Amino acid sequence: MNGGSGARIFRARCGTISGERPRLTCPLAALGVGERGRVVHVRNASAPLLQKLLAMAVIPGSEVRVDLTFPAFVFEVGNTRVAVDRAIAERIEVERVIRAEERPRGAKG
Amino acid sequence: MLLSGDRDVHTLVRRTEGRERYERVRKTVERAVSRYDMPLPYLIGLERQERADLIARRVTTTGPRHVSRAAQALDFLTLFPPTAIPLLLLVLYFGLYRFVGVFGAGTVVDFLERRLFGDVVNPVVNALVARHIGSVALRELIAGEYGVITLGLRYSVAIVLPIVGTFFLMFSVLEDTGYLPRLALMADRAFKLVGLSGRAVIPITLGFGCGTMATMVTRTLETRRERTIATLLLALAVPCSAQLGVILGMLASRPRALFLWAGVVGAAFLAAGRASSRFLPGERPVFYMEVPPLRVPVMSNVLAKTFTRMKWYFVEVMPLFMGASLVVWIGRMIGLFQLVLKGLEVPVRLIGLPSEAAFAFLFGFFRRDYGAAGLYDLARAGKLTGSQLVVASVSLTLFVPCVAQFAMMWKERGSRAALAITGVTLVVAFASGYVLNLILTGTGALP
Repeated sequence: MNGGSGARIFRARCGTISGERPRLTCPLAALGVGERGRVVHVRNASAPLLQKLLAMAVIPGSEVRVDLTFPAFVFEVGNTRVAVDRAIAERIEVERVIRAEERPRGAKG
Repeated sequence: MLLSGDRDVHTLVRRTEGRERYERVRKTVERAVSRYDMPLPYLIGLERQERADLIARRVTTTGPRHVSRAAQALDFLTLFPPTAIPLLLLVLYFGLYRFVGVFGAGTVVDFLERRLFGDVVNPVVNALVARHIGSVALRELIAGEYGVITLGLRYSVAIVLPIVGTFFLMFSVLEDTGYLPRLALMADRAFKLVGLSGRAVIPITLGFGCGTMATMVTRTLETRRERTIATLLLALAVPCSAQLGVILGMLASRPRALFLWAGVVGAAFLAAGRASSRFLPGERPVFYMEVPPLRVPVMSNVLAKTFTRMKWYFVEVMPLFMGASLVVWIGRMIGLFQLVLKGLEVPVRLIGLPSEAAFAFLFGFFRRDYGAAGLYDLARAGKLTGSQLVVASVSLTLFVPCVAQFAMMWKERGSRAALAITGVTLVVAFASGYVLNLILTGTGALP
């Protein structure tokens, strides 16, 4: 849909755009459909789960885009698409990423 | 590899380096591991991923992706809940229930069982045995009603093989189209209610076709806990296609009885799922899956996969059926059957049924639909009232699964779990029958 490489990226606090303020994170479960985030870390996950997420490229630094929030969370990571339940989506901490050209539609507040 | 905790490498080092040196290595590894607050294998994996990305970025370029309109539309339809959920029901209904349950477990089974075994194999074997074997006991072992060939082979070739074959075919198609993970993710929420994850949609739906096959398919579930819950639910509250057929036929002319039966069995399913997810130890189910893009399956791949799996089925499952008929033979030889039948008459009378119904229950174990068919005969002979009919259908549905499913439980979950699950189904079946009978006769509903 968009090239990505040339897009300006704003770092945002969950829910509101905060420009250059300190980065705050929120769980992936708080993102809406079409919203993007960058994985910061995965909380309280067992070693096997971390390993599985790693295998699906859900690792700190990777950018995700949410496709679906119900009945499960489906998001894109690179060329992969991953489905997880809410319990896992709550544990994946992301910082919200807002692309300049998506702001009118994508951002709340 | 040592730092990643690879067991094989640890064993290898211990063998080649000797115990003492291995212990030193192990201590060093432990020290290294304790220095990080994240699991070391994970950190190593992350580092490896980073390097790989770096190399990949240096040597590859990515062009714009082309996705056809049709593919995009299909992608949307299978993920957007308002269209995806009806689609899921259609796939389950036609793909699993109609194709595997009705065509495979009905049409093909009938053909093989009646024509191949009923008209050809069994009469020939029976005649041969009668001519060449003097001992009655030996004759019964091979042929007759419960022989290794006439029952064991018939069961595995004529009854389970068609179900397994159609299932594997359907499953391979679903697998190769990439639809399976979408199916699972849509069903995840519903299955969480009974302590399972979306992955359980396949075995549970399959259970309406054949519980034996479904019990084997519970292997695909992530944790032991989920496998146990699914096995219990299949044994208790998921009637197989053969049973469904007879029960629907028996209760179809009495819609109220039919609803009552469905309601009670459905409630038992929910209650058993909730109770076991509450009381079984272990972690709650988590659901994660990669969702691949949809593809048109390649028929040759699908067929090759189906064929390989059927071969594997033959090697693994056929001995089970042979063994089951051997057990039945021993039971008959030492008079165990008559004893069990007498024993069963007690709970059967307790739930308000005529003692002849005990026969239906016992034979229900050797093949679930025979049990239901036995009840059907009683009902036609006018020996059952409306409430007795419902009580009997409910208890029989919840009652111990057929001998093949029992053997499969034993094989997949081990003897203790198989016996425990069987015990639970026995108690639940007669307890619900008892309570239902009290309510129905007390209120005078369904004369």
